[in-house]
Amino acid sequence: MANPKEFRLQGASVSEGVAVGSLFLLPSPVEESILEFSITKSHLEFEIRRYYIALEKSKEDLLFLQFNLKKEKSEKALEIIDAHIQMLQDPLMTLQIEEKIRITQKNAESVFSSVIRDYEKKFSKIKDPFFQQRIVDVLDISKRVLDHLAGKNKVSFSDIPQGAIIFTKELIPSHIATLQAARIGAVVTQQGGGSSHAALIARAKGIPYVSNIDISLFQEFGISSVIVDGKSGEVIIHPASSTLKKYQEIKTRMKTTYQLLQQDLFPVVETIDGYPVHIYANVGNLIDLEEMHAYRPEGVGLFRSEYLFLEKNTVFLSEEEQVNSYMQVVAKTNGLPIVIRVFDIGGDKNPDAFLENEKEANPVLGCRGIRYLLRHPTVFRTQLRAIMRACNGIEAKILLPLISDLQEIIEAKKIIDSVQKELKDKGLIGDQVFPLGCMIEVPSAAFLCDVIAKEVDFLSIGTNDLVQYTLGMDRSNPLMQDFFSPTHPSVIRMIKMIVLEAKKQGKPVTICGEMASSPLFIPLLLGLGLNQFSCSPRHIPLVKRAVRKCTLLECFKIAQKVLQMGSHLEISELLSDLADQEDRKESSLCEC
Amino acid sequence: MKISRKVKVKNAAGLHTRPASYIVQILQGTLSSVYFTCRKEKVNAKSIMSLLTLAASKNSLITIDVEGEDAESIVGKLVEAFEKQFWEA
Repeated sequence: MANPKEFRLQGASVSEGVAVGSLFLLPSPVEESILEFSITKSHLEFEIRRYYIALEKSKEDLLFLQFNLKKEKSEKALEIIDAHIQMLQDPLMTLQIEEKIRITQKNAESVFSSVIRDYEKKFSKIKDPFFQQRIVDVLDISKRVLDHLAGKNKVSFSDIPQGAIIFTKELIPSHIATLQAARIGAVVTQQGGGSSHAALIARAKGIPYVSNIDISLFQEFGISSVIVDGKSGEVIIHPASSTLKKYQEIKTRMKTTYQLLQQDLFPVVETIDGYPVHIYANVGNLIDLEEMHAYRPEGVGLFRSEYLFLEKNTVFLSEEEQVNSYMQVVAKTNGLPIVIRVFDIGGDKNPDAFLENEKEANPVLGCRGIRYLLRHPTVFRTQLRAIMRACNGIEAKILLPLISDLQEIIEAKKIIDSVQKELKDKGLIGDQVFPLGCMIEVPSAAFLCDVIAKEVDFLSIGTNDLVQYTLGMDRSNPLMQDFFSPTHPSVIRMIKMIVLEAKKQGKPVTICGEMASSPLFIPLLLGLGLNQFSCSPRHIPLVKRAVRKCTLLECFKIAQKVLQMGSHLEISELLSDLADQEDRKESSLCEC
Repeated sequence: MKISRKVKVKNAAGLHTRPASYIVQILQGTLSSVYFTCRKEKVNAKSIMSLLTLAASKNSLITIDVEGEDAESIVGKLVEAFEKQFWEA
């Protein structure tokens, strides 16, 4: 029997690495539009029964979920599901839907979703943000019922076979955060650019990821064997045995190099000429925290608090629930210092669960980060109380996301001070100081760096957003891939300015965007005066190696050269040339 | 039998999902009709969706109207639940 012929598709590289595995099509999580059509009178009872069957199946899902949760002893989650079951069976709502199907003679899907929309409107009119947010629960059950009406089989990530290569239209961050590097082989998507949050997580977890591949091509084929080359952006279907062999070898080689690097476990790093450099870890959940210790960071440089809750699909958790979560986080730091960034909700991290009722035309330029928190002081205060209570007695710093104006810092400080005083008065915390930091990720904050540095204890440069806002380019837009570059001269000049102004005020600066994870940029960043890097745990060994190969004087020279360049291509080229030279030096050493 | 009683929401988070869910549970299988009125809005207390749209925050006043054979025991249970802050304090 002849084997099917090998063919290759060229996509865009999102996360490096190589995977060989079987294809797994994941139905798109994005809502499809709901069709409305008429039902003949004789079919009305059948249509109503179809609705009740979907309700029953949704209830079974929820009971099954509860059964699993009972093992984890998560009381709160169990109660929420109880409430969801009651919502499904709400006597008023079900009766209303049944009658409406009879009267309008329309299909169950359209009637059901129009009733849900009415509830959505009702909830959106509520002024109290806490009650307003119950809309999240309504939408959750509505999606469940609509899926059953459509006869869709829900696929959960735990059903995916180990090592499988996921093909899907688009990944949302809460999905990919639950993916374990060890479980799945690679990800291939149609949409989603190299700088989307899903992409960041894939890179942090070391999952190869290629985008811009037309997924519809795969809907009907029974393709079993696929190779994903995350570096070249190639997806190889039905690979020939020679291709398979080649990629198996690449995989083994990559694994060996990485294992060698991992043995380099000194937490403190220095350049060749003895300049100390501090390396911290960016983490977003408990698993990251556990894994982090293998790479010996000096501490947690950025804890993205929102991801912890994204997994639970809501930030509107009670104070106690949050205290509990942060206590677990604190316990897993093994006494290392931690910087907790308060909820950066909004922008493309915004699954439906987070959205305010007003849909924003430009969420990335809208109510996200500190803007959201200042508009929702209850959410902000609850989180602060929980952080302070959980971090009582340990070295913890608080970081404010998306600052674009001095006033935001002043207002946030007022809230922080009042929360701290309130807790102290109640005897819940002692005299501990929580140093306050400010993310510099919007150009306006970069230009105001001198005044901002006076107000806070430290600064943290988030390069991903800084590039996006400086260049005015959507980082998740695949069309912008070739232009979206942290090597843009405007970005480099801005970083230089931030470092300089912070130094004048005697305030430390950390760089925590993806730029800090790439060995390519390390010499330049050192030359710009940075010596604190926070990167995803698995990049720590690579960054350490890069630092050890540098001399500070050389780095200054590189920075000087780069600062005179006017094009990002020129800069990228210079940096890659330098990296290639280093690689050649290294391989010649190995051969000796 | 027809009983009307005023209660105050005492728990910090107000009549949120968990208390609403608790009320619906108490009322499941009861024969009486049960209505809650808060800020002039009157809703059927057997419907969790309606209870949530009431958005009764802490210190809200709610009028409970129960009509039916088992009205007395229902009112007793409801008043106790409000009084004990739905066992959340």
